[in-house]
Amino acid sequence: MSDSPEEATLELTGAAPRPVLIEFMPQVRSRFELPADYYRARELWERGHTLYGRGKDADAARAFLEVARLCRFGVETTYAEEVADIRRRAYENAVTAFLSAGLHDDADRALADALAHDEENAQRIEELRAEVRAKR
Amino acid sequence: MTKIGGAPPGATPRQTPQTTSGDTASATDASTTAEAKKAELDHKHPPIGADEVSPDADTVQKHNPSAQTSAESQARFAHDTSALLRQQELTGTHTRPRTAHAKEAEHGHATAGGAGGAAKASFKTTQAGVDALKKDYGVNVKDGTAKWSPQELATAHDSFARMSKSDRAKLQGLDLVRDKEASAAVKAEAGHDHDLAGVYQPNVKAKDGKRVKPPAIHMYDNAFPKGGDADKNRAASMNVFLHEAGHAVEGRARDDAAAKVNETGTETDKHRPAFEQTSERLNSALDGFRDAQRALPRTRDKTLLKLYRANGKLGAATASLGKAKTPAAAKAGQAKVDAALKARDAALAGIAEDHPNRSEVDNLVESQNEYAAAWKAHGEAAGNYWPAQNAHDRANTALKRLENSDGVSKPLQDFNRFRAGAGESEDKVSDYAGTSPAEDFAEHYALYRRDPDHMKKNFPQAFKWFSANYR
Repeated sequence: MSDSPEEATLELTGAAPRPVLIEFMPQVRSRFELPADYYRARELWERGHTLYGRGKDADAARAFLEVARLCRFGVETTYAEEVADIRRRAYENAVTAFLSAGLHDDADRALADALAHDEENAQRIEELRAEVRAKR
Repeated sequence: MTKIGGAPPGATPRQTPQTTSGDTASATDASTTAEAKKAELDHKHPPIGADEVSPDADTVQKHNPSAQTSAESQARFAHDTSALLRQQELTGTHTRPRTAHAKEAEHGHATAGGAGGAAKASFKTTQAGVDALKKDYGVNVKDGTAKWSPQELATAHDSFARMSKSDRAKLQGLDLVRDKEASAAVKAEAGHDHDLAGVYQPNVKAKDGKRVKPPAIHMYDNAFPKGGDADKNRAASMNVFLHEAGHAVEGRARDDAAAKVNETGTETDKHRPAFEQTSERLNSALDGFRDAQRALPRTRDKTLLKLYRANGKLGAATASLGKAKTPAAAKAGQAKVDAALKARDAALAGIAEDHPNRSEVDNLVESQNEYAAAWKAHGEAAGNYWPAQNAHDRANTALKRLENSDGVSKPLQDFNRFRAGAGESEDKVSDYAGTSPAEDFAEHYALYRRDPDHMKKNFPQAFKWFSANYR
């Protein structure tokens, strides 16, 4: 604490935990074979968490964006809602990771691209864009 | 999933019995016998339609399924059933039943556990069937877009009676639903136009910490052909029941584990908003705390230095709180924060009201109070969030023990190993078995339970494997 026997400064202290990513990726099951992309998305979801835990926030964000891209299947099936939910969670994690890395522009661009491909999640994507802009 | 069309389940292997070569007299006798036999069969099981189905034929392609009406689908199902039973008779399976079970199977009688005889079930009313299926198998019978008949429920009961006790446990709590036909969503998942006779739905979706509905077997009109031989129609229906039950046998443990992941996941969803809100408050409080700390000077003043030391202890205590992942750890961390604040108050009491840095001191104290309060709120939210998250982690670990990274259940992995090894040389029991490993298993399972003698004779390796693994 002191840099001389008699005089001292107040050492800056205090911390807050890093934002926590969404852990839960809904499990999808069907009697019929699911696309291979779903299993690849599951692996990438875990990889995204590992990268974020290691402080590789930008890479983590890109992993979650890829999860969302892989989960563009299953429209009109019994599990369409769950797959759309996976995409939504992936966008949220990508934004958390991008913002943690200070990459607000990247986050905004990624969300704009998502908007073009994901009508079901359009409202949430717009909300996330607004949050990103507010935090610039 | 069972579909109609294609070579039906239980179809015999591609080769029909050949007469021996080299002995003209015996070949002639065998030929005459075979012709007589065929004539007998034509009388007994007249082929429906101009084409006679062979085990190699792709019946679905022949019948252009996209144009089928329900009546045409049922006619095709009856046609396939007739062809199935003709082939079985040609290979001699049903001509000389050697066991009581085989004899009963020929006439579509159910036997309990695949060996020995339980009488054919008969229900006077649908409710009697509902009650029996609930009592004997724990199955919840429900009408969907169609209504169960007592006869259909009797067939269900007899089908499940052929399963072993441990396999029947996989039916506990399952819904048995009668629908007219598969929904558009189910058809979209199947990815083809072939009419479905039944489907097993894992139903793993959860909401607010609870599974929305249990797994279900849906049976459609196509599973219950009308007209023609009643016993043969019943045998065909039994095959559908046992095929779908086979999917439950193979996948139920994994599907229940997946549902548990979803249940625990949605439980964490409930606690997450409060947890995130407290995180935002904490980050805001931290900014103010740091600004207040930067404003205080380098000093030799003992009263200030005492405050500085207390400030350091507060930082350490909140770091301890930040690592807490259980309510007990959060409580212990909070106790440290409270102790640090007490030490801070004691240091503050020693600083005069007119101290030259009193204003900065007051700002520091105010920011410390907000910072500590934000941590307290975060700790309380974490006390709810982390246990839910830990339960979710345990559910994920449990699921990984039951399937591989491609979602293949342990039972199916075992079966696939058999098919790649000792079972490689055997044909599939039906064309439909070739559509996926899961359907291959279900088709084999249905045949094993419905007609083990036929399986033993024609698919000996598969019979041996199922006998060893599914007693």
